[in-house]
Amino acid sequence: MTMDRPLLSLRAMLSNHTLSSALLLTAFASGVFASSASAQGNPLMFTVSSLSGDRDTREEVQRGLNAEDCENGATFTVTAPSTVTITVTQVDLWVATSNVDCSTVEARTAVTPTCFHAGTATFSPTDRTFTVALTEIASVIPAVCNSGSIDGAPVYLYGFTTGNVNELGEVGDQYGSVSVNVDATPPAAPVVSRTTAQGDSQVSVSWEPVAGMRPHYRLFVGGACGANPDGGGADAGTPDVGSLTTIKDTELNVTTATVNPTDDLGLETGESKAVYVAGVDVAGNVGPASAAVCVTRVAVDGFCSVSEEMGEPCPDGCSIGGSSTPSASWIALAMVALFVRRRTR
Amino acid sequence: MNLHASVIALGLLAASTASAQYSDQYRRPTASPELFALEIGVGQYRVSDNAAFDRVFDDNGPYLRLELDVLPVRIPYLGRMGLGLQFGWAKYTAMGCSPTSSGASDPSCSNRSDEETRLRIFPIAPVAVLRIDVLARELGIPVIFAGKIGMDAVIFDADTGSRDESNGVSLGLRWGAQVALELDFINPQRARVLDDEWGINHTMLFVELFGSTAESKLTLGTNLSWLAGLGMTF
Repeated sequence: MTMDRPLLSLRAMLSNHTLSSALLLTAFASGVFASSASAQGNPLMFTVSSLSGDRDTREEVQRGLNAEDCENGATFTVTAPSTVTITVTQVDLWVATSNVDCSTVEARTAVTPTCFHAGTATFSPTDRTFTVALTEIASVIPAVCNSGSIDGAPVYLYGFTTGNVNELGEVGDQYGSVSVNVDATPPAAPVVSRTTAQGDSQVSVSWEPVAGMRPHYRLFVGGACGANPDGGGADAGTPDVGSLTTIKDTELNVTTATVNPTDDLGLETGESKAVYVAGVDVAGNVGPASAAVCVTRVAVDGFCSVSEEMGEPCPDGCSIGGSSTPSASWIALAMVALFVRRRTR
Repeated sequence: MNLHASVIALGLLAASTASAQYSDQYRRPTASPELFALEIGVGQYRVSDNAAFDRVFDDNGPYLRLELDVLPVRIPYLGRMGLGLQFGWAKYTAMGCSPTSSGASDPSCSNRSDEETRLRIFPIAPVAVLRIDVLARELGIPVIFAGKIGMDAVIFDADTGSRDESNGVSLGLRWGAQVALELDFINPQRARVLDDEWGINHTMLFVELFGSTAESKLTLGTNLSWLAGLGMTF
């Protein structure tokens, strides 16, 4: 599967919580900040500063973690501002899938705990960051990577600086929190408006928008029309997008795109290739391919070609004169000017 | 032409219901000078006598036009005269023609591809203008007639798919005949305020029939097209 290059957006949350030292990661993705999913406290003002992987750099595409991140064990970096003092080099990680306060003893030690220990991370005093692997979170809460939510479910991450938990389990004020949206659900396949297109330098491919998401779309080229590139044979079924070659990405919510049969598909006149469309959600999940649009390169006569065939070729460049008509124009104008002049005397 | 006649009839009807003092307001000593006219209109520009155009395009294109007139000459008991400059825009689109099944070119354009061919024109016309407002000024009938004649320079640009096909300028003669309904009678008091505060003497709705013989490089003239819109003098 070809990965998108998504961009992270995040929000750190402040709190006047007076308990222990925890870190809560809050990287809100899916285009808008998940404001309803604020964590309980963030005295150390942690924010998610970067996500690993090939991210979409377009500012309008904001994202968290996707299915491929779950598969590949993506990491994200948490940063503390220089205005807060952190003296330790280890951070104890706790995670929850609901907006509970993991700095409380009860949340971590109840018979049915709501916060789970996800190991430790090393805090770098120089750049004031530490890195968290998604696999660490998924190891204690596997459901985060099986999210059925289209826009992704938030995962709340607390970080306590080590040594700030007393024997009773109470945490001091050296903690922070953030949350990350994990969206492991790819968008549905778009439905293309028509399955054939003929042109020479530009044909239009359009499709119905995929409901329930704020996607952009990716166009792929496969093999010859009627052949399934990942299965071979004459199967016109939908191929795996991983077996296709990307042509281009659209802007957000755009449901039509043009394809150049010559440049994009490399077709000679009379040849055809299958073009597919797939949705890409804000987390970068690439959905299944649409039905094929069979694009055939044919010679196209535009207005000027037809005009030339009918005996009046289109010119190139500006012209002055060329017939007796302009002379008539100037004569008419001169007569009017003379008339005006006489009237004004 | 029906529309044309309807506008004239509407103007006469309005005039018959307007009071006789209508024309008096234009003789107000405090009225601001009336030297310019501005028109903005929309209509259709139908390219004529171009067989390829007829074959490829099946629409008349939306036509937008802006015109500014300078009318320094007042002809008593007739109207105002001056010069104007028209800026227009029209666009035509259609799917390009595909060759026949044997691969031969098909000038009849019976087979269409999925690739768009476009023609854009930008007619620019300096024109002499005569606005006959004697009915409105002397008889209180708020109908203005205008005649225009000048040179037409139709800048054109044709492309198909992502290929530029041609561009250039065709020259010719432009003419126009306009009838306008002055709107001051709807609320004469507001019309006076508009003049006092903004210097706008009159506002009007107009319909114009026009033609062009622009064909010096490519036949892009029109035998008869129309335009309707809003105008003002100031």
